[in-house]
Amino acid sequence: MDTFDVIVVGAGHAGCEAALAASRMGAKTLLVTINIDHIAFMSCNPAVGGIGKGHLVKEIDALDGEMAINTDTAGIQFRILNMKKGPAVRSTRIQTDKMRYAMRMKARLEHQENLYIRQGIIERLIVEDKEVVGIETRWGERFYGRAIILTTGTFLNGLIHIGLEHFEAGRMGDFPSVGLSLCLKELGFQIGRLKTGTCPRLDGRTIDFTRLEAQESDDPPRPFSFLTKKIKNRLVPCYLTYTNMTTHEAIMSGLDRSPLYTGKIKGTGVRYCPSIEDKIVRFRDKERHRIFIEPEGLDTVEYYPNGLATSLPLDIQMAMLRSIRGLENVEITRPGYAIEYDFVYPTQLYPTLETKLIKNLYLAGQINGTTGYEEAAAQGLMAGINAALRVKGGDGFILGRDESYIGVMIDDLVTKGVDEPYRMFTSRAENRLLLREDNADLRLTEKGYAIGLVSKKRYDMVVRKKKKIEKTHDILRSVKLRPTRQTEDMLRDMGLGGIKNPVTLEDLLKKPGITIAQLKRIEERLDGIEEDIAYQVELNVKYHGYKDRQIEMINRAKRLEEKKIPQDMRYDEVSGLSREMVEKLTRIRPLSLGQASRIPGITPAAITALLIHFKKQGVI
Amino acid sequence: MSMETGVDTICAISTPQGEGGIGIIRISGSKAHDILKRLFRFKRDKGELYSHRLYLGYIIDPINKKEIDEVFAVFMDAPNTYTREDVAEIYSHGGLAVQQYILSCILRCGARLAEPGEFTKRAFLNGRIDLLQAESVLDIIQSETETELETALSHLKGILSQRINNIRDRIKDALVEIETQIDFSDEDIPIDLKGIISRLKETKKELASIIDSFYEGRAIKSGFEVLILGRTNVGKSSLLNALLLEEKAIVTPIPGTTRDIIEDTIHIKGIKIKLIDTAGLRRPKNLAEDMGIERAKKKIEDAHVILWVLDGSEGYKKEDNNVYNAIKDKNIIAVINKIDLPQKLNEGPLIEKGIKPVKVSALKNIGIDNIKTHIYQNLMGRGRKRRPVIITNLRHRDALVRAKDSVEKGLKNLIESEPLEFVAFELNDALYNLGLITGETCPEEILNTIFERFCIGK
Repeated sequence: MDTFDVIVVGAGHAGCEAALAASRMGAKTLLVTINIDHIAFMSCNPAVGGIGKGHLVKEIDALDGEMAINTDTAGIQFRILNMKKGPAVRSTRIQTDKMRYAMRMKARLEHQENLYIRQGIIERLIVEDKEVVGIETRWGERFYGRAIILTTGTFLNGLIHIGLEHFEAGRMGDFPSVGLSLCLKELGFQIGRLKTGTCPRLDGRTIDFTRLEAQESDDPPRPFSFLTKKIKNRLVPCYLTYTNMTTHEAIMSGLDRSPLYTGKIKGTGVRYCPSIEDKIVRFRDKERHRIFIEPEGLDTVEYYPNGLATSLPLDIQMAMLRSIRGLENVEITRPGYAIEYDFVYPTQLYPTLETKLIKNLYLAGQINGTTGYEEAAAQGLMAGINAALRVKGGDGFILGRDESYIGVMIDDLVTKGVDEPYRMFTSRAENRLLLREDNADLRLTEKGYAIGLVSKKRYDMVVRKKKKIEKTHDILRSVKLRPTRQTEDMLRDMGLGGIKNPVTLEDLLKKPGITIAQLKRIEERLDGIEEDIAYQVELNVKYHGYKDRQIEMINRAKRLEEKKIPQDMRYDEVSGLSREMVEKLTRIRPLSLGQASRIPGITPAAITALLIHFKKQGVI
Repeated sequence: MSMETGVDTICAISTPQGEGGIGIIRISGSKAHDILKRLFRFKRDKGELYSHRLYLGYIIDPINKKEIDEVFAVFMDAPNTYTREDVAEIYSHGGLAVQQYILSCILRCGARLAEPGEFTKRAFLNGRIDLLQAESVLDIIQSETETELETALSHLKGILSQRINNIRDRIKDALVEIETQIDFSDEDIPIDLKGIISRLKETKKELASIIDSFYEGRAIKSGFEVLILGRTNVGKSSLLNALLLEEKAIVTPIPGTTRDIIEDTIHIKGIKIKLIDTAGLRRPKNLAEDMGIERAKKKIEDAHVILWVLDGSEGYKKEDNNVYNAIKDKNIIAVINKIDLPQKLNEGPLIEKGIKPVKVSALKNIGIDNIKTHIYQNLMGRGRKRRPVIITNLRHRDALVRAKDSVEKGLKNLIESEPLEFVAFELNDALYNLGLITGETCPEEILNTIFERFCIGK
């Protein structure tokens, strides 16, 4: 019998971050997984990041999480998406060597102080008086912990479908976790069922790459982590191809054996990341769909045809693949499949990711109804932090919607809940303009340091960066150009017109197309400024109008956020609330009026009623 | 019976105080049914109060069991009621004493007296009406003229809400397309930029037209200002009096008697008109009159229409022309007064200015209605159709102006190929501001202001 501070169940992307965060904060941590060889395994596509998701990864990095550095180390193709759509929506996506990714993460965990790893299938939680105290494996082993984090991914009652065949599994090749789901139900949790799917994997030796359009890595590659200096791996391209009408016919011909369309699959799928059969059925008019052929690694010939997630029978999978340009003679190494799994409705959680029902029990990742490695990792990190803080006796660590994508995601989950797998988007963040990938460190690192999570090294780096940014602003504001002949010539060289009155360098920088690099010839103190500092300063100056307006919006919303609601609040005593609203508010137990206002079905009028009530009671 | 829990029951006399034919007493809340049942005795023995049915009977004093009044009574089951709570209404015969007696019986049965505007507040809180409609109720309660009432009623019917919601929907559609380009840029989904631009231009125009109605709407609510102006002793005060049909200004033949601005309100065809008489625009002989003149100059700026009064019994003087010069850029109606006296005025200078005067005698009450017609046509336009939607509330106007600004900036960004995230920012801001009007976005300070109004309102 072993006793720990924190026990993490599951070693996927959520579990790894949770275990690392907790142990880094000094908690004696146990990580239990069904298969140690599959730690940090990329069950779906071999890439990290993407639009909105990249923001999460940067934030994980700013809080000293592992996903960013791990991706940089395993990265083999680097791209920044949305380059032209605005600085705040630029997102990093990195293709990885999936084995290197998993191996490095495993090594990282193994070298972490305070962290222990065990293999085992967790059958049940040991709960005493609405408080979790430990876990028990299928073969009777017991581990006791002061806080337990469940990161079960697709393993909870997992059921794989290929055509009309189905079998129990956590993922292809791994045992499912069946008893735990039953245990959660018995404890009173509301459990739902979701579905996700993955693509068949292809033998690269049977792909005709000459018929495909190559998509090269950005050059130079830009890493995820604020700490990564250099990308060491060889860079390889992805390839682009399209489905066609023959593909679509092949798919339609197999729908009678599709688990999705014959009603075998009951779980709700990801609307934003549908299977190919879903896309064909729903958008019959679309003549072709784009497919990215992504390498699974540097040492393997396997490729991942992104865009072709499917649960159709194997013969149909083969027929549709071979109808695609460049894949005419392709061989499948592993079939695509759909998987159904149980999740816990996340409105049953506090924003710390602790369950309301069972004390000291935390949930993170797909068990909360999300999809995606990045969403999972971000929750894992936050659950790890909060579990460690609980053990240490600290307050919960909750990030605001106005300071992070992580805050947006968790608030959405616990306030609005999910009825389909939740994926991050930039448009979910109402304060998007301020929440850029490039300033994640400036937004979050100091906060992480304050709770004993972030290393001194990273903290010092951010403090230095902030100072440098301030100093650069000072220089730009203090240097003035007077309208002289000499100035005029210089400005003309930069493609600018003359000036009548003295202007500061800051004024010049506001002009479209002018960069700090160009101003270096005017002011030599700008010469040593690093690229990332210059970028921050340029954005601050060029978009200060938008920044101010966004800050104003945040302040407007803050007044409701700051109005805290007592947790023993009796909503049935508030006049003007319908029974349905009383039921909702009582169930979700929002921490603030701001959170209450985001609960679906809670109208502005209801918020007014609450305000009036609190004013009468003198609570607010 | 009631949908609500923990909501107390309120009651009030809902018809204006005073001698009316019928007085309505309204009860809202969970006890409405029980209270009515206790106080009401059916004329023909029925014993059961079915919802939304009108019954004839008597109100009985629950203590001495005496009949108070013969009444109609209705009970209405939640949620299909004004407040979405259980509501009972008693239509009693007039007489404040009787109504108050009935009210006191209701209070004794466990209801409490409603605060001003509380029924409407509950209707709003229970989601029965939106913020705009709630505010309109106040406007109806306070409206003095037919036009004002009409505007308020159309708001209550939700016409403005509906139009604003339509605009919101259109902006939302554009936003959806733009967000798709941002969040799904790797999915190669085409975007119809031209279409978005033309739809946003439409939206901008529509917003501008609603904003424009504010001038009119505002005036309908607080009255158009009509300034009476002219050199000394042309009979401005007499004209004011004639228009008011009552002695308000001091009328004397001594120049400069009207020391200060005198104003009063009349209604012309349902439009509220604030008539303002001023001290003549003339070099003052003493300080007291000087102050009057300074204020008159300020009034010229604000006036919707200026009645420029001339004396028909005298020639066109230099002072007349001085007055004209002070007001020539404004909306003028020239009035030649004293047509009951021998006429000496040369109309040449007026004809040169393209002005067709109205001829009246304030003293003999000749041509006064003609002035009123001129004022009405000048303000409302000859045969001009009134705008279907009118905003009268400064808060609404501000929000609309900000929404329009944002749509405009978003358009500019789009046309100049600025990054889409800034277009999205502007459109989100526009949606936020439009939501402020219908109450979909709810910063508390706005709601607080509104409910302050409710308390001083009814």
